[in-house]
Order: sequence, then C-alpha cells, then structure tokens
Amino acid sequence: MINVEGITKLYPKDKRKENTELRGLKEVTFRVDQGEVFGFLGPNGAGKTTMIRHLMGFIKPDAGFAQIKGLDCWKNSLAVKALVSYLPGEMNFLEQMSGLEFLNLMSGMHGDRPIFRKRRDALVERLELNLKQSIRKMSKGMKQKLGIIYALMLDAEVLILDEPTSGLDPLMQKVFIDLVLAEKSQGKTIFISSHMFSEVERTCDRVGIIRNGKLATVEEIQKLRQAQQRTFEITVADEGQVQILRERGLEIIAVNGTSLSIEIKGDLNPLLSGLAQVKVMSFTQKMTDLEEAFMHFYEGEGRF
Amino acid sequence: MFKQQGKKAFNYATGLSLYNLLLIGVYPTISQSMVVAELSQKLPNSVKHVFGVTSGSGFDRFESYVATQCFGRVWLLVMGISTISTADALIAKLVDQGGMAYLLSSPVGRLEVLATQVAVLTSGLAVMMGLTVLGIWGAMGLFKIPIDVWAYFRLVVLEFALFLAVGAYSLLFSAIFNEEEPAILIASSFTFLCYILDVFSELNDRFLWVKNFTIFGWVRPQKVLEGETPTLPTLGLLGLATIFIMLAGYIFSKKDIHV
Repeated sequence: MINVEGITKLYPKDKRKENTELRGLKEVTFRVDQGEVFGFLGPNGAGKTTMIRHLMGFIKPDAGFAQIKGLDCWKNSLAVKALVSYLPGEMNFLEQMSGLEFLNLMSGMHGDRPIFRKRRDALVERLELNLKQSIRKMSKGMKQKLGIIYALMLDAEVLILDEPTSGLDPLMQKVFIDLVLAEKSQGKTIFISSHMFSEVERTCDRVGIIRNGKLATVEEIQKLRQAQQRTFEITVADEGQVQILRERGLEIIAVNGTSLSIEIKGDLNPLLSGLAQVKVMSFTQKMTDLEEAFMHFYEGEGRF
Repeated sequence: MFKQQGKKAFNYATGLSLYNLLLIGVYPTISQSMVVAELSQKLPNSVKHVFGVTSGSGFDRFESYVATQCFGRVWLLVMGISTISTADALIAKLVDQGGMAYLLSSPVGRLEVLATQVAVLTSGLAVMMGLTVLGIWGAMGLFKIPIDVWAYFRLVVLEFALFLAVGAYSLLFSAIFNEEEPAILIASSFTFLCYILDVFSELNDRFLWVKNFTIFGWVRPQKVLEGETPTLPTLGLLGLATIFIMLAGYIFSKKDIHV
C-alpha cells in the first residue's frame, strides 16, 4: 500500500562537507502492506517528519519516490490525499474556531460524506471532548483528541499519524490504542511515527528505525520486544532472599540492602520463577527508553 | 478563513470610519478658522505635497481636506499594516505555525487553497473600502456637506486597487518565505520604500518622474476628488496585483512546504 523507494532529501546544511548530522533523508526504502500497522521510530530530528512530508506530498524528493496505492505522493498528491487521513505532529489548528467548526471545515474539504458525521459523533463520545469549546481555550491533550477525531472520522484507507499520543493521559492513550486496533481490524493501513517505544509496541506489526536520516532497519515488533532490555526494581523481605535471587543466575546490576535492580533481556520466566521463591515487598518496572533499546538491539547485531 | 479575517477587517474598517467621521465633524470649524487658513497658505508647496495635498489649495476646500485627512497618511498607514498582516496571516503564519498542514492534507489543490486566501484578502479589502466610503458619505449627510458622491466612489476603487497590489506582493513574499518574520519584514520594507519614493517625487518637480516607479505615485486622491477619472492607474494597479498573485500561485504550488 505504501511504497518508499530510495527517498533522498538533503537540506542545504546536509550538503556541507563538514556536516555529519543529516537533517534530511538519505536513500530510505521500505514498504507497508495493506492492513498493516507500521511504526516509524527514531529520536527527535532523525527524519521522521521529513518522511511524512514526502508521503503527504508537502515536499519534493531530491531522488527516489514515495507511492501510496501506486500513486506518486508528489506528482499525484491530490489523488493520494483522497486516500489518506493525516494527523500532524504539531497541534496548531485554526484557533479562532470551535472544535466543531474545525471538523466541519475539514469534513467539507474532504467531500463531506455522511459517514464522517457518524464516525465523528462516535469518536467524540469515546474520547470525551466538548466540540463547542473554542480551540484557543483547549489544552494540549484536548487538541490532540480533536486531531485524532479529525484523522479517524474520515474513514480513509491509509492513516498517517505523527506522534499521535503525545499530550494524552494514560487512559486516553489506551483508548487511542483500542481505536487504532479497531481501524486495523477493518483492513486500514496505518503509518505511525513516534519516538516512544511504548506507543508503537502495542499497535504495530513492524517497525522501521530511522537514525540520522537513514533507515537503520525494519523489524517485526516481536523481535524488537524480545530484544528490549527491561530493568526491574524489586524489594524483598530480608537480605537472605537477596541471596536466593543471586543464586538464580539473574543479572543483578545493583543491590542496596533488600532492594535490587535486575536487568532482563527477552524471556521473563527466569525472573518470575525466582520471585516465586521469595517474599516480594515492592516491584516496579523501569522501561529502557527507545534510544537505549535500539542501542542494545544493534550492539548485539553490530549494526551501529 | 473568511470568518477569522473578516472580523479583523471589519474592526479596522469600523475604526477608520469613526476616525473619518471625527475628521469630517471638525471640518466646518477648521474651514472657518483664520489661523488654519493662514497656516495652509504659508506652508511651502513641497511640505503640502508631503502631506498629500496636490494642488495649491489649503483646507478651505473640502476635497483637499478629505484627501489629506481621510485618505492621508494615517489612513494609508492603517491600511498598509492591515493588508500586510492579513496577507502574512493567510499563508506564512499558517505555514509557520502548522495550521496549513490541515488544509494541505485535504484533497484540495494548493492553487485552490491560495485562491481562497486571495478571496479572503480581496473581500477584506472590499469591506474596508466600502465602510470607509460609507462612513464618509454618512458623515457628509450628517454634517450637510455637499459632495460629488461618484468621485468618492472612484477614489475608493483606486485605493482598493492600490491595496490589492500591496496585498498581492505581500502574499507573494508570504509564499516565497513561508515564515512570518521575513515575509512581514520584506513586505513592510518594500511598501515603505514605495511610500518614501512617492514622497520624494513630490518634493521637487525635478524628481517628479520617480512617481512612475512607485505604486503610491499612481494614486492622487485630491485629483480624483476634484473630478479626474483614474482609469489607467486603477487598471495598472489591478494588473500588477494579478501578476503578483499569479507569481504567488506558481511559487506556492511548486515549493516545498515544511508543515
């Protein structure tokens, strides 16, 4: 459904010889199949938004092409946009309008099909947003909800979502994930750009990892999840039990009295069977951030 | 867009109409004042030109008073600021702040988006000109000053063409830079340069030719109010505005837009 072939976009800074940090993109190639949820991950400034600008036909590539359903995103941008619904990363709306006026305007620009209103009403109820409120007076989270309602109400074949859960509280993040999974079950193709591993972990089938303007790899989420290193902070009843856990062969990276930090990569079962032997007073999981997860993943494969 | 910018244009126009009402209201007092008459007689011609009085007459004639005060420098300044800021808000500000992403993500072409913005700019200007002339007509009825109504109509059409040209090149800069700051800076500087050239051309007959190179030089309110029909300058300014808008359209449709 989405086909990106050798996309290169170099900004003036990128063309200077002394510059080593690429701001644009260099020879990015990947495909997203119909019905697939594809995560596009990378730290801020890695080139995620530049990639989305190509998919939306906002910028012209220096080399290569991006296609959606066989249509060139730059040359046939109008036809492409008829298939696509886009949630921008920056929630800067036409602020003097109310939420409802904004959705009506966008609905009109997309052809004002009756299904838009039906879907809009269902989404408003699900995300609990007051559409009569002026956008100027909305909080960041409320604006994000409005953006999500706009993107999902259009019932488009392809969804392009840039950092979709930023600003949402955990409860609404969960609602969003459910909404994405519902869209996926209807056969929609979804492209999610993010710098948060947790955002794509629960929704995506495959993940493309971009770093410094180059696509490092495309992996199945399952493989990344297995490689992700997690740290658990555990407090046990007494120091004798710390010793029991030591003997289980777990990778204990720090001990402070009865508190331990244990690092686990992949399979959780050794930890769980170890914990069954002791009395656990407290248990928290510290997720490694995305960059860290990538580094661990690629250190193992020697790609970085 | 119409709603957002229309409110702003209406506010500016209402302010200008009230300002004109006030100016016309004090005209009977000023025209009968010996001090003002003496002062206007004593002013050198070059100074009168700087203030927009193009004939030798002073404030004893209503047309010269209106040309100087109602369509004078304050009015030009307010119209200039309003037009440049509207043109900037219609493209550069929307791109800069990201709102353009929503408009361009719809299956509506860039040229269509630009055409809508041009319509917003044009209708805003029409509202401002309409309310200005209605304000003047109303004030004249109120203070019972006899005037040639059509001369005022011809003048606002000419002023409309002038500010459409200002708005059109401001839109062009807005499309070229796609960022608020440089777009406003270049449009304001260019407008100020045109205005200074116009003032300069009036200082001495030797510099009169300079007025042909500035759009402000094509507009002489007092002459129009005194009966001249400004067909050529009006068409010239509308032609220039069309060229600037076409250029803006070409650039906006081809340029990378980083939203």
